[in-house]
Amino acid sequence: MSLSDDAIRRALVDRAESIGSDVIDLARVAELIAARGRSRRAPWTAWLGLAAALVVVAIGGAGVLARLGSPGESASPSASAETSMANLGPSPSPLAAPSPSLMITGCDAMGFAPSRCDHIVAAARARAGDPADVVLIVVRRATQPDGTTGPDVSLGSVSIATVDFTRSDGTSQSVDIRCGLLVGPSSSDRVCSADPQVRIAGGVSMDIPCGPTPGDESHPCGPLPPDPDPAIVAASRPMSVPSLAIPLDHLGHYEVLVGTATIPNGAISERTASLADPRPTDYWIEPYIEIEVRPDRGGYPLDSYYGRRVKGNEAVHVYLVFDVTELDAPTAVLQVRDLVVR
Amino acid sequence: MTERLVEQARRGDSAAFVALIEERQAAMTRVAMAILGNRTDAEDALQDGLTALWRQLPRLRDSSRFDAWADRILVNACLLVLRRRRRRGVREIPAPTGAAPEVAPAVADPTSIEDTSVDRDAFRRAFETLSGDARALIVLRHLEDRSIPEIAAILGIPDGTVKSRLFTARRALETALGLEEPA
Repeated sequence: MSLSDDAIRRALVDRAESIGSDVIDLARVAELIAARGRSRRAPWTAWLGLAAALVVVAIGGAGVLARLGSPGESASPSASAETSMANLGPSPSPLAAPSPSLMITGCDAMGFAPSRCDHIVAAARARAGDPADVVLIVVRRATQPDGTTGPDVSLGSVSIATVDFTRSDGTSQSVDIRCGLLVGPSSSDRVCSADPQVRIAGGVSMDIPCGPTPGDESHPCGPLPPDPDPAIVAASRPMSVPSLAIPLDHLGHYEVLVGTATIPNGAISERTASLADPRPTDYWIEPYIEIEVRPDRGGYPLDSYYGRRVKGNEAVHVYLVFDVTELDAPTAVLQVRDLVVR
Repeated sequence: MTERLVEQARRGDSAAFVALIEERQAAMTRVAMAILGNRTDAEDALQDGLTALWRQLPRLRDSSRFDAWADRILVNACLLVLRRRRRRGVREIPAPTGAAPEVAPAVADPTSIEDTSVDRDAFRRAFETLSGDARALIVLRHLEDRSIPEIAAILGIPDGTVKSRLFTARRALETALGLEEPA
């Protein structure tokens, strides 16, 4: 059996019309875009007019127009815009490759490996609003407020580099790339870590769910729940998967059902797995792969020994939940090892 | 008429640019929505696409090719959004090894698919298993009724490649719907 052309068309029309009753006014968006002119050095009056229009539109509830005021499009009468923001979001993919005529320099002197340099530049490019017509990108040490160069530490983050974008018309824009002061050796952040790795989030919290409030000894904790009955433990069905191959064929969110298990009294005691290759070259996953143990009866996933006790065995489905943020091959395979939930 | 507007827009006439977009806004929105499947992504792609259209218009040498050029920019904007956005749509993949899943399959039962109509949810799930390129091909061909040469011009690939990729995309869609055995 195959799909007819008409069936595909009707399904696509249905999909396209799911946008809702309020149609996007593209002509108005085009008007606002064109109002800015093609030069980024628009006069203040033009920017003020656009800003006023955006405010009006935003109040009117048209989200698409409100987003026109992105950081890279910020109104500035100056030829050089200074942008500085901490690297708090996910690393953008470096898929938007620069043109062959573009020169990138400075990474060697900074001691960044080529792949890290690519991600730093990609992050800076995204922060700068993907500037057009860039002919030169310089990665250099950050300049501190007093004019000296070197790490600028503030508010729990440190500037690892400043990236200068020089356009063909001679104007430039600088972006400060900041990282957390503590970047673990196994961080998946390819901008901030010298040895980034894909991580698995698992483990079990053994924290006692009640603790005395300092200075309030009059409300002690109740007794801890007992360990599960050995008979219930014996009747439980842990899950153990020695090896799991997950094909990755698209960017974005995955929820992979691995299997089922039963947890004695809902007291989860192990939630572990490892990766065959934590440093893959053809895909990337950020921030981590979560082992989610979802009770069949609903409620929060199990991750605490004490967090949720039930009579008998708690039936669960075990999922691996993650986001593929980069995929350089049509298909890649995520190899998971020794997945245990009990 | 279109060529005159394109020429004016190239020279910076914003009213001409708006007129060009006004003529095409329904189709542009339809294409973005069909490829991306949700309004937020479609809005992002349309905004990016319009910005690129305006900025790059002076580089368009042949005004008569505006439509294919504009479609190409819009499709590329859609593909970029697909790549960039960390989407939160749920998609289940049967585990190849390990304990047997005991939940309903992610794809709806194909027996619910009638002769000439496709279950909406089943189609959505199946369509979203396709690559961005495959989605664009199917949308341009089956929603926008573009000819093979037109699609080739839009995507910048030879006619034969369009045909083979379209065949592969349709086969992938039918497989995802459970209508075909995987190759």
